[in-house]
Formats: sequence, C-alpha cells, structure tokens
Amino acid sequence: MLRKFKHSHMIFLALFFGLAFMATGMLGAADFQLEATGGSNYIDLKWTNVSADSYEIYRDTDSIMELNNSTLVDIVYNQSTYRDIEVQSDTTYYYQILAIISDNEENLSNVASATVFFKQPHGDYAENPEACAECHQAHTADGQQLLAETDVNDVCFDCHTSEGPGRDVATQFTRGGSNHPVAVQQCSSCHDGHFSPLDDPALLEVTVSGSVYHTGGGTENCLACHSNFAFDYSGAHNSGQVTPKDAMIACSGCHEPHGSELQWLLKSYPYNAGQSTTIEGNDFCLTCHQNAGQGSDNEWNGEDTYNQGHSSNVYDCNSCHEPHAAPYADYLLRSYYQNYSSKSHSYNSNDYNTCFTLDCHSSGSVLFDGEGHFYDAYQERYLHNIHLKKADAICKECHRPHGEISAENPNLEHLVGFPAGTVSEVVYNGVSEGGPYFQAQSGGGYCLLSCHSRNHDETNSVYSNVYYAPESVVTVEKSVYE
Amino acid sequence: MKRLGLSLLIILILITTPQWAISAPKNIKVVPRSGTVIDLFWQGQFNEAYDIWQSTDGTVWTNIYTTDSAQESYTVTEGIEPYVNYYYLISTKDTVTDPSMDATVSNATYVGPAYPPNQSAHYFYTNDTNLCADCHSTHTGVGEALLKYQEVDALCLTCHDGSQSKYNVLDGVVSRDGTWNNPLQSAAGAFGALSGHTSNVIAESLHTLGAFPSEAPGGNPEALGDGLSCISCHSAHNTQNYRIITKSTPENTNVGVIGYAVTDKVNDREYGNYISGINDLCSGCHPDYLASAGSGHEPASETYVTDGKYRHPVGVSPAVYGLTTTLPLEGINGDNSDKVFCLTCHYAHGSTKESALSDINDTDGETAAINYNLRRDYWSVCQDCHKK
Repeated sequence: MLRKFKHSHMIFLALFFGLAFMATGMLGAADFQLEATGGSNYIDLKWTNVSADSYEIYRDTDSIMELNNSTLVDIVYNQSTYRDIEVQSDTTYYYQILAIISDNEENLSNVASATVFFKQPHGDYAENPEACAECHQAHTADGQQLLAETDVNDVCFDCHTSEGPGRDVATQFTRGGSNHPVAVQQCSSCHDGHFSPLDDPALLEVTVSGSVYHTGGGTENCLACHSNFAFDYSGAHNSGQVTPKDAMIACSGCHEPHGSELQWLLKSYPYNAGQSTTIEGNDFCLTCHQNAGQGSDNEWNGEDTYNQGHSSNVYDCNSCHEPHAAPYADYLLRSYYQNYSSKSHSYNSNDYNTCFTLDCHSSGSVLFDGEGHFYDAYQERYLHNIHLKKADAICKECHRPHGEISAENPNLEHLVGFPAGTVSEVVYNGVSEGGPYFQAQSGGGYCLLSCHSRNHDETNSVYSNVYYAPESVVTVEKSVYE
Repeated sequence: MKRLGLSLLIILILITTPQWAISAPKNIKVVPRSGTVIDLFWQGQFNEAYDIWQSTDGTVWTNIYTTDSAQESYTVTEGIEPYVNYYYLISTKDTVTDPSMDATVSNATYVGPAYPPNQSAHYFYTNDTNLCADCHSTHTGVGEALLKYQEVDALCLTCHDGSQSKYNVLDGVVSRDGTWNNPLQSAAGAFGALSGHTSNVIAESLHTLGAFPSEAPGGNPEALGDGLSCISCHSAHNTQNYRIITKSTPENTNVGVIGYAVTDKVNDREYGNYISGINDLCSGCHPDYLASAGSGHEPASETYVTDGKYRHPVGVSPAVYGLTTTLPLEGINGDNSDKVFCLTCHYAHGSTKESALSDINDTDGETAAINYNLRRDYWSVCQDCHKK
C-alpha cells in the first residue's frame, strides 16, 4: 500500500511539474547560460545551444533588464555566439537572450554583462581609424595641427589623468619636489602620440626645434636637452654598462621623467643616511654600490661603510662625486691624487681639493695644526706634514674616505685604512706581526706596518710608530713591545 | 613703292580679318536619340568648319569628326554605349588641340554632357520636347514656378528615387544598364530613406533636406529660406556647371564648377573627375571651412563666426607635403599634385560608412557618433593621406 501510494504520488508530481513546465515553457536558467566578454569596440556573446528556433538578443545599459524596454539587438538562428558592434567604448552593457524553442516554449538566459574597454588612440591608424578624432578636429580645432585643445599638453591630459582612461601622468607633474617644465617643453617634445604602444610603450621620440632628434627612447632622449651630461659619457655610468642587477644604467634609472617629490627629478635620495624617503624602492647610489670594488684599492662595502665614513646630513655622495660625469677619476668633482705607485710624489695641496674644500679640511690645519690633527705631542711631530711632504705619501695610502675596515683599523677612527696596498705587515725578528696596521688608544695611537719596506715599529727610531695626543703624553705607552 | 604699299595693305587685312572671321560656335545641344545614337546641335557664327570632340572623362578628348563649313549639327552613330556618360565640345576647326587645355569661349562651345539612352530632363530641350511637362504644369501647378509638386524636393524624387532617372540618390547608385541589377556606386553618396521614400541603405549622415546647416560655422542658413533643398546645390535647368550645380549660394553668387561624372563599370562606380570650383559651392554655406595652406598652423582670422580656430586646408596638394592619397582631388593633373577639396573627405549627399566619433567636446569630453558625410569608415580619410 505504501509502495503503491509512493508510485502514484511520484506519478502525480511528475505530471504536475511536466504540465507546469509545458505551461510556462521555461527551462531553468542554469540550462541556458550566457557569457559576455568586452572587446575594444565590441562585445562578444556566447551562450548554451538549447536547440532553439531563434535567439532574440537584448541589450541594456541598466543591470535590471526588462526585455520590453531593452534594445532588441538582433535575432539569430542556429548559432550560439554573437558579436555586438553597436556599442560605445568605455561603457558597460547588459545582455539577456530569449530563446524561442517552439511556439509554446521559450527560454530566458541569465543576464550577462561586459564593458567595452577603452581603445587606446595611439598608433595603428589603418586598423584604428576612429582614433584620429580623439585628439584632432578637422575644421574647428583650438590648437595647431588641428588639435582639439590649444595646448598639446591638455590634449594628453584629457586622458592621462587620475580619472582618465590613460596612465595617470598629470598627477606625476604635480609632485612637489621637481617637475619637468612642460610649460616650456611639451609632452610632444618627448613623445609622439602617433606611435603605437606595441612598438614603444612610452611612445618616445624627442623633437628639437621641430625636427626629430632621437627615436626609440633611452638616454639619447634626455641628451637632446641635457647635452652637458654627455661630455664624458664613456664612464661607468654609461648606459652601455651593465649594473650588478643586469639592468642598463640610463637616466631613467635614477630620475623620474615627469615629476618627483625630490629635487632633480630623483627617484630617491642619493644616500640613505638619515633619510627614509624613497620612491619605487630605490636607494639610489647604494642600490648598485653595495659591494662595489671588493678587492680593489677602492674597496668599500656600501651603506655600512658609508655610515662610518663621511656620513652626515651635510655630506652625501654628491658632495664629492658628480654621477653623470666629472673631470676627475671616479666621478670626482675635484682633484684627489691617487697614483700611489710613485714613491716620490711631491706634495701639492691642489692635488687634494676633494679634501681641502667646502671647509671640510684645510691644507694648513691638516699639516701644521697640532690640535687633533695627527700631532705627536711627545716628539712634537706634525705627522701629516711628515707623511705628505717629507715621505711623499698621498692621502689614499692611509685613509679610506668611504669608511674604515675593521681588519685594518679595529677602532674605526679617523677613516684610517690602507686601500693603496703600499703597506705590509711588520716582520720583527723574522716573525710577522700581522694586522691591524693601525690602532687607536686612549690619548694617541700607533701604526704597526711596513711602508715601502720600512717598518713602523719600535725598532725604527726615525719612523717611530707611536704618537701621543697632546693631552695624553704621560698616559700612553711608548711602545707596544715593552 | 607701289609693291610696298600693296604688301602693307595685305598685312593689315591679314591682321584684322581673323578678329571677325574666326569666332566660337555657341549653344551646344546634346540630345541622345537612343542608347547608341547622339544628336549634336550648335550655332555657328561665320560658316566655319568645326571640330567635334568627344570624351568620357573630360581628360582624354577625341576629335571624332570635322564638319564642312556652315554645318550646325552632327549625329554620332559609332562608338556609343548605353548608360555611359559622354561629353561633347564643338570648336572652330584647327583652333583647339586638346579641349582640356586650350578650349575657350573664343574658340569652342562649353561642354555638353549626354547620358544615353535618356535625354536629360534638365537641359537641351528640343522644340518638340515634352520634358517641360515632367516638372511643370502650365495651369494646374501646385508649387511655385508652376511646379507639379508643392515641395521641390518631392518633385526631384519623383525621378531620382530609382523609378525613372538612372541616378537614384536615395541608394546612392547609378544604373549600369537600365535596370537596378548590380548598379554603380554614385559619386555623391546616398541620402538613404527620405520622407515618403524608402531606401535599401541607411545613411549614417546626410545633408538633411529641410534643415539649416547651422552646425557648420560660418554659414548663413537664413539665406536658404525654407532650409536645405535639392536646389540649394543644384539647378533644375542648365547652369553649364558640373551636375547642374547652382550658380547661386548664400555666400557665393557666381559658382562655376568644372567636372565630369565618369562611368566606370569595371570598378562598379561612377566617379567625379573634378577640375575646379567645388569648394565655391560648399563654401556657399560653409565659408569658414574654406581654409588655405597654413591654416593648421596659424589660426583663422576674420572668418564668419569662428575666429581663432585651426582648420584643415583645402586647395593644397598632398604632393607638396610628401603625401599620397587614393581619395579624390581637384585639378587637371590626375595625381597627388592636384588639390585637396571638400569632396576629398566628404560625400555631397550622404554617407553609409561607419560612424566616426565626433570631435572631442571641449566642455565635457563627451563624444558622439557623427559621420560628417565621410567617404571612409570612421576617420580613415585622415589616415589615407597622413598614414600615421
């Protein structure tokens, strides 16, 4: 009885839903799926083939579609795809398809939407001829070359703003530190809007006085105006050099093209000491110069060494270096004699203008001012004077301006170091003393090294290796060998 | 001494005689009798003999016959193909070597067109013609000038809707053979459906009949009276202009247009061989657009209503700028040294091409789909020359 009831109940239900289905003629929406995909000037539709006699395609700009009020785009037969080209760029459309399966049966799809994405107006005009009018007007243009705006920059900023469809360039020009002067140089000075981004994403072409100076981007673009940076462009910052990051150094490696929060359109401060502001994560010089020159006489290990050297909020890399090009080696702005191979270089203060400038160090005080300037109060020796003028040494033989190295100078004082390699270990009674070569002590210090094969140690009475600060004469041991 | 005096007298006679002995024939009348026979009539002056010239494009002319003296008619019976446009010119014998170069009012008639097999309803009426009654009704006219229709445009469309003339301005086609099978594309484009008339095409834009061309700055639309009409640009009767273009516009009152509608069945078209004068017609309503060389770099001044705007010039040769184009130019050279003119980019009647986005609106940045009667889809007319 129970089984019989169940059968009859199931039959009833089947009849009920079958009749209901026939009455409404509607399949479930899940059976008839519609997808919409936006293109540059079209929207592609794709739907489930439900073997309908015809498909009525409806379009609306309102997400809540009512077919009576929507646009009947087309009626198609025996197909399950359709491209709607009667659409406008940068507009979202909603679609729904009514499948006419028979006289008594219809099926309505889900509502699918897609946006006609903005078709960029640059280049490929044979394929993109509708783009001309994005910038030009044939008969009533406000600007030269039939541009729609008086100023070509305004044409660009019609799109290239924070709210426009193009990359937001306008905001870059509002950065507070420095900006390329578009009031003088226009967007079109560096860019050709007719280029295709497929060929050059930045559409770069520099025009000078109406003539094309350079096409294709790169450093040559900048040199069109900044030719003063090209006078010694064969140095390490030549764009042809490969950096440790395997990227070609170019102007854009350090500078923003449009605007920066910092001066000189810099992407970040030249050094990171005491500064935290960086743009795009760059630490500028230190980005590349973390481990520059290891094993060379210019060895330094980047930021850590720098922070122990000439680091302060007064000095930065640019105090001594000009990164584009400079009249002296190592991009130095001023003289810094480095030829230590000569044992008889006569002292000339003009050879060390890097040091003796900007009120950093004066030649006179270094050589003859006993107060704190390497003065041996015990023997009344001006040791800088002796080294530079009598021994014909050079600064670089005893100093590392970027910072000391603990293996040479564990006290890390006075930037003492021996990058020139003209010193070596002291050999005393046939026994090598090893490093470090310089050690500061309270009230003075000593060197334990051999310079040009002469030991600076207790055994050499002329080249005594110990010096005493004036206030500490009585407290400093004369010899470490006692 | 006597011999010298006689010689001087003869020289004097030789110098003065031609001034009255050689004069141009006048009033050419070209009347197709059938699809292959065309009657020519003209008025001689001093019983000269005449050269009869024939052309199908206005550029290449053939002297098909030289008449006896005092002859004032000729029937062309050879080489005529139905539904091909022909042009004729009568010149005093041996005074013209190439009508496109040296025919003048002093030695030749103006050019008379023929569209065999049909006699044009617009000119070259014969004494026994019934053509007048096609448009006029002497005692029961319902429109001005005894017209049979109140609206002149409606009258024009009684023939030019594809029912009678070989020119169907609605579809923008020209009959190839007297039927509407595979017709030729017309030089002026298509109006599409007009009031009371259907069309097989949809015009994206057109010179809207009845409208005032106020959107074109510089015009004087009030001068059009009831608005734009067929007779704003065309005359019903012979003006001696190409396509019986009117001589009178709101701004220009002596418009002279030389051109030839060329039948080009091979390429499924009838095209215009434009020689001169079209810009004078267009600037009759759009005078501000009559910009000359340099107007893209120096703003226009002293124009009708829109000073300070930069405009694409007309009357300049693409070749001067190193450009080439497949679009029509105006001139006699037949190459890129001819001049850009209004019809380089625009159709006169209407365009079925894909709509171009309008120029950027300065105030809100909105664009709209406007076609501007352009000859190509979107703004391809720009690319055709500038190739950016």
